[in-house]
Amino acid sequence: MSKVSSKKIEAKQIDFQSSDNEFFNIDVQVAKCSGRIKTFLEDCGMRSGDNVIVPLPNVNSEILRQILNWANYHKDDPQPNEDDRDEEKRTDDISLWDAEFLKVDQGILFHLIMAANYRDIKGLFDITCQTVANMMKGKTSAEIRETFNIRNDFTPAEEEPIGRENEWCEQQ
Amino acid sequence: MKMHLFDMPKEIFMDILEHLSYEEISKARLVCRRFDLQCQQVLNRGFNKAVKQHSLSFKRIKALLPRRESERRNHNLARHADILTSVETRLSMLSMTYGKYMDLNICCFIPGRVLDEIFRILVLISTTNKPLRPHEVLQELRDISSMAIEHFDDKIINTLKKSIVDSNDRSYASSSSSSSSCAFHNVASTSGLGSISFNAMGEEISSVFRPYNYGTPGYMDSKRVGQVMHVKVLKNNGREPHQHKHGGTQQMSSGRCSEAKAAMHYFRKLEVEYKRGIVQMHRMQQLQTLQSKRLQQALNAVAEYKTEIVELKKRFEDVDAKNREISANMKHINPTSGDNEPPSPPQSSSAVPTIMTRDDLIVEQPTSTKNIKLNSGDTITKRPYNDSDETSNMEENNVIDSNSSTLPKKPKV
Repeated sequence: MSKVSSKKIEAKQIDFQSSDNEFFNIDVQVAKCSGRIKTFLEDCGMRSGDNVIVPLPNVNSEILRQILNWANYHKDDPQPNEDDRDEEKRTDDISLWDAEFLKVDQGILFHLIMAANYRDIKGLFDITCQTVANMMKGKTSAEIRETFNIRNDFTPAEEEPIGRENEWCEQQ
Repeated sequence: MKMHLFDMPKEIFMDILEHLSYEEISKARLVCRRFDLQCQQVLNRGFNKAVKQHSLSFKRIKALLPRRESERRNHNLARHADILTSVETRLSMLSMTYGKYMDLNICCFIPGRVLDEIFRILVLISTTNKPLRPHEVLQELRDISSMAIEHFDDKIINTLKKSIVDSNDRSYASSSSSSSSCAFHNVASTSGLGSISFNAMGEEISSVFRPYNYGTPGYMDSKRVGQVMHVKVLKNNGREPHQHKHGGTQQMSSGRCSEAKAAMHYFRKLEVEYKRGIVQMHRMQQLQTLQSKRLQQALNAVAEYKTEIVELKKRFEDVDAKNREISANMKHINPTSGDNEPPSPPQSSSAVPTIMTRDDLIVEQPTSTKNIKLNSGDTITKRPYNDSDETSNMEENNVIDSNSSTLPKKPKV
């Protein structure tokens, strides 16, 4: 029993299968950026020589490639502390590489958020959410609507009281 | 394939919003209905988080402070505790203002900027151990929270109350129409703010108070329905016109319809009484809010005065210590002097009794302002006080003595 547990996660390589049936062979260390995959590997007790294929039915190859690219760059980062979850969330601490990495189409960005949330990749989830928040920051409601292609479904009667509620800090 | 922002689950959307400041969140409510709903939830959650974080911070600081009050006063973290007490006061004032409307889901915690300021102070408290200046730290919070509360009381609260009354009327109208059809077995029930409605099941209720016409039912959060409080109206006339005796498919006869009409009249009476009660309750609530505000202000003032008194006491102690030190030094320099008064020169000591004697003489004379002799008065006031003029002084004294009966009484200064 102890031999089995000591040999857990000895497989150096692992295969991911995307929703469009494309395979990605990667290091286990890279795969462990995802909390869910890490738990999966630990629970299953993979050994060296095992041909491990992890199907990811919710992620297509394009998004998976982006995620693996990010995970490969951040594989040596320290694991985020659980106590940091309640700390104040900032939007100005994205590294240059990440900022460049996230200069993608809005649709891809939202897919990355969904995949990061589903696969429990905290670092990627945080920076993608920060990027979307930065797209809202300092903008008026009309500009936000324009940025995200949102239709204003308020009637004037509904809009007026909300505007009045926020008047207090605009008064001199 | 292209994904929209709203295709994401609301939990993720709220995670995104939490990266914004609360002020920006409160402004983003104007984007669309979904933004409004999610932002309201984030703001409410933010207020609860502030209360929780404040209590944790207060516990931490209290644990670090010494138990003896005299030691606590001089501790580095004493000001931290003062600041947290003031923040607690502000939080309770905000809670009194917005809390009940938040609980009824007719309003969210509107002033996001106040939340930002509270969190700024809490972060400052948790990150520094240096003595802080409470007045400087709290000034912005005091200003903006008062502004927000005043604005809410002046401009928002009336709209909310109107919407409550409107929703009550609507729910009553719908309930009365359903009861007039005489087709269902109805049980009257009321919400916490006065909606009376009838429901075939007798337990569930469908009316939810909304401050604005939010329109489509899909926009209404289904969770909110269950949160509205319901109170069954007890019938005290002994009759139970709506109760099934045989429990089932009994048809309503014309006699039953007349009973239903009587019941309707009865319920209308009840409704009028209930509305009166609501008006009285609102008045009482307003009075209570006013009084609690005044009380809080008085408490704040007392706390500030207390701080000032402590500071003044400290200063007084310092000054007292310095005085003692100076007197000790003086004693050390001149050990023969009994008191702190400098020794007077011998010449002046001889002159003073002369004047005093003169004054005594003047005081003893009867008052007569009419008989003032200017010459003698001039002599007194203009007399140079020199030792060389002792002889002339003696002469003048004689003159004064001779004229003293004509001098007025010495004015009291």
